[in-house]
Amino acid sequence: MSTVAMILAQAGDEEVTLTAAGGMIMTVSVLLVLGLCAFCFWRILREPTPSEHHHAPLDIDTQDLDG
Amino acid sequence: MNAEPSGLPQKEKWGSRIGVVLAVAGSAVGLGNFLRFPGQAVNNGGGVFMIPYILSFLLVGIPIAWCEWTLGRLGGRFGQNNAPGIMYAIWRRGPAKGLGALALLIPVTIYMYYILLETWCLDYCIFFIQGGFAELFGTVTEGVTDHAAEVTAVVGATAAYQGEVFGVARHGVLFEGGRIVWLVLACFLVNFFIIYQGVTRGIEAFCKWAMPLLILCAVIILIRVLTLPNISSGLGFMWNPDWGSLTDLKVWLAASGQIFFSLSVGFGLILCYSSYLRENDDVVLTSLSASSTNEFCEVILGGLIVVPTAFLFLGAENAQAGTFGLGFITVPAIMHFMPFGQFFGAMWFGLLFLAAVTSSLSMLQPAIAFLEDGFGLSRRASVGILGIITALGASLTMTFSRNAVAIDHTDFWCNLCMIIAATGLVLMFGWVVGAERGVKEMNRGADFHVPRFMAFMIRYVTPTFLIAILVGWAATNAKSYLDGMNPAKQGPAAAKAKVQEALGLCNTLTTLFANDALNEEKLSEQVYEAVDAVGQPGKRDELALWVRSTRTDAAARTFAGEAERRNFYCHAVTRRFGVPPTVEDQDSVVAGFLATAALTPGELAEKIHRLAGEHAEYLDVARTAEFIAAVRAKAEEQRRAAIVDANAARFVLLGIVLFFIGLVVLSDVACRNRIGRTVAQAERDGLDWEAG
Repeated sequence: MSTVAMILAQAGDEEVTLTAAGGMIMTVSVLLVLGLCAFCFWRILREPTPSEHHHAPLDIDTQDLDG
Repeated sequence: MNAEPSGLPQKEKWGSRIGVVLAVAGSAVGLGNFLRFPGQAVNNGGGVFMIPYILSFLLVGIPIAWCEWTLGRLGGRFGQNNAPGIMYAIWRRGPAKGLGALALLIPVTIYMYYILLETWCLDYCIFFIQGGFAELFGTVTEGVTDHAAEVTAVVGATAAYQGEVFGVARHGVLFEGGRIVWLVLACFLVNFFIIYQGVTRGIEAFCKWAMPLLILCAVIILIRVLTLPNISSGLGFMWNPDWGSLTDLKVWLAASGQIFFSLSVGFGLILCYSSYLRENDDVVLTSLSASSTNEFCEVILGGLIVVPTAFLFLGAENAQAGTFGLGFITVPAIMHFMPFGQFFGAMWFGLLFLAAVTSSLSMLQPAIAFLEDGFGLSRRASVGILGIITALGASLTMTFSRNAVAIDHTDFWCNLCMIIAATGLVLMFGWVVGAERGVKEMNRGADFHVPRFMAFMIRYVTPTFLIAILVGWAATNAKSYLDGMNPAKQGPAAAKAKVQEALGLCNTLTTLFANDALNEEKLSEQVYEAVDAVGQPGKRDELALWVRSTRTDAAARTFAGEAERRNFYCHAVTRRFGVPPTVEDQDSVVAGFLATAALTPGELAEKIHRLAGEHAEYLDVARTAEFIAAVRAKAEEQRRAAIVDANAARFVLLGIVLFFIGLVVLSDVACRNRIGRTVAQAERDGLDWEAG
């Protein structure tokens, strides 16, 4: 059975489709999360990296490695 | 920004802000986002689930995360990157050390079983790449034309693979030395190699490429899913709201529990990671960014991929399986039906593996930091000691592998400890540190300040919510887990279930015979499995001949309807195995099976014959007696296995309790000595923050 035919047969058995309310909840949820992510990363990325971060932390001898 | 007090040893710090966001998000993003969330949503009202979910995110998730980030950064100023040290620096009382020990116990204990889940993902990824699943599914679906039968065959094959390779079907997978043991070892080496590199060179560097790659893979799969024909059917199944669920307390508990477990807040991971921040690094925005990345993976990637596709290809029943079922049985089965399934299957389990590694790293670092800060051990020694401890724990998990009993029970107790730890942490922030003082500290260096009402929320609303989650969650789950540790209950229950399964043999086989989609070979195989499960193995060839002759007989007859055809098969089974489809007073018959000393097989067979009613004429008492003897042997086997499982569950709890006691003692010793001295040095350098 082809994938499309199989999917249609399967869907026909269950008779479910995305309702207006379901679509709205899904869209609002996705937009809320996307909006929050966009806001946070915009705020983070717009700021120049603080000056002390220019010094690679690798230069610091943490003294917690054997050697 | 200010440097740390001069007398303290120089410690590692995060290299960049985006690095810490990705590391913390990597810690939170795991199997729970991609598998647990959709499972919880679809079983708790569909789209309606999002209402309590978003409220819980605002009332529980964000406040706890902000509290933990703030306390962690504060502890870092005292030169502490470990939970007991951070707690001690902030509050010099006994409960703080206990809370610190709990925040060590939880991540390390979770790691002991999480490493196995990580390995399962890697194994599935490799098996997909090798084409192993394609071959397996090709074999089991050969000659099957009906879609429902194909789904059953594919799902059954995946479950059998999981049972065989991961040891879910029996205890002691560790001692078999198969491929899974080597893969566990490989995962151990990968995790410990990364963690040995340190916070910036190891965790941060890994998460900076692993997280974007993981999200990219998931987005590619999401695009494929959303372009499937008729996907709106699957989306409808997942997102259509069941408004009635909104008044169901269970749905609210599920939503708040999901937020809590998903964000991985309140039990030490963030406490450790945020302690590597600088004094004025922003915790408000960084925390919110990590949480929002987690939500992106959960709501968008988790909510739109697995359940809609599972419904589309496999139907409602498979789309509503639990987290493990959905992840490790349903998803591989989906890939059989999806175009380019082999490619997408490998990609999916590859991304889950990456998500698991980033989470694993966050579980190891708190203990490494404790060994370094508390006892002055080198990183190499700390990594070595933790490696031995976690390897011992993982070995026990792999020893008690049947039905994933060790994983299941460890997960239960860890979840309980997580809620307790988070409640303790928020209460400490709100009532010991003081909510207003804490929020002021939270706002230090913040890109934007948290709202004023947050102090009130942290003091009253969030702890109340957490206590409600604790009570509701314990009330829902505790009884079944406590019963699961009781051999006196589990043994007889397992034996009884096996007898009931045996008494249903007639109906099971009749259904198989009546399924025309099964060809003779498949039917013989499934009949053999069904009779073998109730202790009637016989010979395969002999059974196959009987199946063939029964079907041939049926084909030669004309039936008035489906009921008559089923009756024919049913009587054939009754004659062959001596088991009727129904008996009067079934409870007394079941009791008779279990009363091995009171009734001989012959006596019980006579009784069944008397209670079989109209079916008695098809029964042969001698065959029934044989059937009873075999079922009794199988039931006894099940009883013993259930007792072993119950004792394994007890052993798990005992191990966790002893481990906790050990950590409390070690925390106390460290706080009285090295940690105490470092904190005192910080105070001499002008840092004063004792609370309470």
